[in-house]
Amino acid sequence: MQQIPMHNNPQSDTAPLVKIRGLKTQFFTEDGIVKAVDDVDLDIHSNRTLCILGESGSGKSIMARSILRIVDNPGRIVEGSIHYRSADGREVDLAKERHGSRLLRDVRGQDISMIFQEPMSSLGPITKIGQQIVETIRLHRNVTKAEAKAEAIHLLDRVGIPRPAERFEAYPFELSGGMRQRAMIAMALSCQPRLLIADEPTTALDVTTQAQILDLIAELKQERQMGVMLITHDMGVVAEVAEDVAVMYSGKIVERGDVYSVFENPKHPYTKALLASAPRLGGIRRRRLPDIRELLPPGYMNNPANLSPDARLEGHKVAEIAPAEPKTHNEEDRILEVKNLNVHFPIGGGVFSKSTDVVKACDEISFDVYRGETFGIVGESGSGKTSLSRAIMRILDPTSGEVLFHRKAKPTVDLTQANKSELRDVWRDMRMVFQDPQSSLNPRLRVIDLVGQCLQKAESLGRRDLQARVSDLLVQAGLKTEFLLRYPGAFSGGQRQRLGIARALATNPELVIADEAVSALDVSIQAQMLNLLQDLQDEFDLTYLFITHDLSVVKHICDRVAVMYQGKIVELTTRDELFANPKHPYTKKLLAAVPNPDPRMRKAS
Amino acid sequence: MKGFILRRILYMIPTLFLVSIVTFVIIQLPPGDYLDVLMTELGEAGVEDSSTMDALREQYGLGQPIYVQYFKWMKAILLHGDFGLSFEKNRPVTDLIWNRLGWTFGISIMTLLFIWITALPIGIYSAVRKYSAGDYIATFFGFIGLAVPNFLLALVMMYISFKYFGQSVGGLVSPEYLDAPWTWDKYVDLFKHIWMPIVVVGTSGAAALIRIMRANLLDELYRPYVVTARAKGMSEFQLLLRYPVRVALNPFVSTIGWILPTLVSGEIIVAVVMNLPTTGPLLLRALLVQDMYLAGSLILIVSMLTVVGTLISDLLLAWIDPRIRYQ
Repeated sequence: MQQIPMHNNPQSDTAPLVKIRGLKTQFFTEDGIVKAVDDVDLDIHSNRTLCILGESGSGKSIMARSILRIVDNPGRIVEGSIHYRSADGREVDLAKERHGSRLLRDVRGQDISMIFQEPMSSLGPITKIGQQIVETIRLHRNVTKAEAKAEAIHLLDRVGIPRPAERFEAYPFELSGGMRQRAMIAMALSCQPRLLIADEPTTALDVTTQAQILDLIAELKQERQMGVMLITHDMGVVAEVAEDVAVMYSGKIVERGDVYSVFENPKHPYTKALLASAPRLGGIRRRRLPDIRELLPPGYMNNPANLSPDARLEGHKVAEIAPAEPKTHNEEDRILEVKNLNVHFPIGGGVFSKSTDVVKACDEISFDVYRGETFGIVGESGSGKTSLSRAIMRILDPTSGEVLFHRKAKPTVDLTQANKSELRDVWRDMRMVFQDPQSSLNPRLRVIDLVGQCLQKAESLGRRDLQARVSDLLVQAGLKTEFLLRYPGAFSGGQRQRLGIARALATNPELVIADEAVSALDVSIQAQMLNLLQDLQDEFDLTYLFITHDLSVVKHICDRVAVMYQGKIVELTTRDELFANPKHPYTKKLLAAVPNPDPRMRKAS
Repeated sequence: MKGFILRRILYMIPTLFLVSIVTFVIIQLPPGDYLDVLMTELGEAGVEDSSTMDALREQYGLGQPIYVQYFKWMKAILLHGDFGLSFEKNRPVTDLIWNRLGWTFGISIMTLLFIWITALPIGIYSAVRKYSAGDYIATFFGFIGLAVPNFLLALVMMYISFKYFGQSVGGLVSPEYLDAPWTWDKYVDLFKHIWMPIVVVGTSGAAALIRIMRANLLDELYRPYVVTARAKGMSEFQLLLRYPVRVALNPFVSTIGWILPTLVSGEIIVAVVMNLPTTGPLLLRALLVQDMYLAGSLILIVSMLTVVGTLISDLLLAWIDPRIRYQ
């Protein structure tokens, strides 16, 4: 049996900054004990980046919070030690400290600081950004308010926030997502921490912003010689920044090592499956997105014996996925024609004055969608892609332009001119799947009514017929018929999005508009969802209009892609052309920003 | 922010105009007028003099159409600050109300302070120590405070303090000080009396606010930004006050808007029971005898103060919560 080295790096002879041994963090809930972190050993070194890789629910976040002792009730550390070695060489066991003790509070923010996933909700909503940084500085250092303010402005400048003195006075909601995360980093760095824990710091951000934030963290790590522990589910991010990697599953670390050995010579079957399922921008397009569960034998990860770093796959191989056959579409058979569509929003002006200017959310947009294809619209947030989808559906009234919808058995409609009753008819053939499965389903309706509502209105079905139809839809969406009478609250995020899809398909639509339909989902659930959408497309001859900011989603599902930038389509081409030969500088920038899940392909740093 | 304040002040003008119309219409709604009431009373006394009545009717303009009466009234208020004459007391309305409005205002502000001082710490404690014994006790007394009618509370408290502490009850000062000049002793005596109406009127408000504070704070306590503050190394007490409590504070500020009308119109019974020199009993009497200019003036001034109170609370809200300014 091969021994897996704890860390084989040049610094391994120096004592680690944080040494975790046998850590168990458990949640005492009404339904019993949940073992969120289950016997974890881990060393964190200064001046190195350790990535914790795992799906949501793997316990990686709780593990990180255990170090700072900020696990919310009813979570508790029940066993194990977390030895932190301070700058003067003394060691303290953070796991043994009393809650909120002086020592813990000194370590937090000063020696070890943390940044979080959602910078909007992680910053105090009604306190100025600058004030939040000043507060941190003055908690740990004996400086005057003026000195702290100067330092905070300097920090804001250091993390790349333009006009820092002005932004010092800004509230979180006045900044963009990327700027907020920069402010969060500035706050975390304000007391020169020796370890920075970053919990999914870029998951809520666009690819280009993600790249900037990752660069910034790497740069600051170099500059300050600090340790970085980065928690993520994204293989690309790991390959981009990690020196050491630990893979977590079900509260345990199943594999660890330096980034090259983990990526090139993974030992644990789960790591192999993870790597095989990582979306790659280059290479062939596969028929189906690999789903980790499908790559491993059924029930493999449910066996506790397979959760140790020494687990082997006996008699099995991690499955291979067949490449997709190229699809062709009849260019004469158009389902949607968008011609010179404009959506303008007035800005400026007050109660008594007229608006002074307009924002062109969509600026002379024209494109055709062919029947049976998947047409992608990519862009960062603020590029106008959501306004475009809403204007096509006429949820939003466009300023000018035409949207022609050609249907099989019904006359063509120009949606911009359609009246109420025409629209109601069109909305049966053109359906939408929304981004957020939490808030797009009415929590007070049972599944049968949620999915069947539009059906009942359209066809005035009796209760029994409705039940049969909705059952069929549920099965098609990969759900069970027992779910008919449940409320949405009883479902997981992935199941809810399946409900959203079932609802969209209820009226047998011809065109489905998916607005960031998989963006809020975990990677493995995202894969399941994309596979389901592809299966349904084949079965029901659907056409998809796919709106997303995620290029790996585009790569797997779209036939043709339009890239949107500042309200305009800057590039419209086939998917293969886009990835092989991007023309517009913005497309190139977008592609370059996507982290590649291969540490050897790292951008120069 | 300047634009926001200006806009809110401009919005007040049409509101006040509508309020004055509605006020006038309401006091005109009951059939008859003050002279009918007077005539009935005189008739009961055996006096019958319709020519005097007609002369009076002419003098007060009571026979004219309602809009003429309204414009006469408004013109006098806006140009001369003259709210008209109280029929019953035969004195200008302004003479009668300012003293009482002063008391009403004073008691309102003190009640507001009482509500804040009790509700804030108890509400925070209830949320932070959810389901603790203290929380249950606060909840229990909160519900009692909400459920017991204020006049009953007033009667019980008056009885207890009279029976067991031998204190004179009713009014704001003891009878011997009523017409005395303001001396130190009179102030002491005033404070011996005034806490009781404040507690009586403030209890239900405080109880409601404790519940609101608890619910609001519970929503905020588990937000990610609280974890961030904790990860910065702030002590629990510091971070509690600086983040979640600040966000949950909005309903406190809103109380300014509703405490004044509650005290003036809602607590009339308490004011009558406790014999308080506030506007409540005056308004009640004025409505009973259809003393329309007195009643109208009181309703108008109270409505105005409510609108101003709401404005102040809105401005304060915008000041403590920057998100509101930009909506």
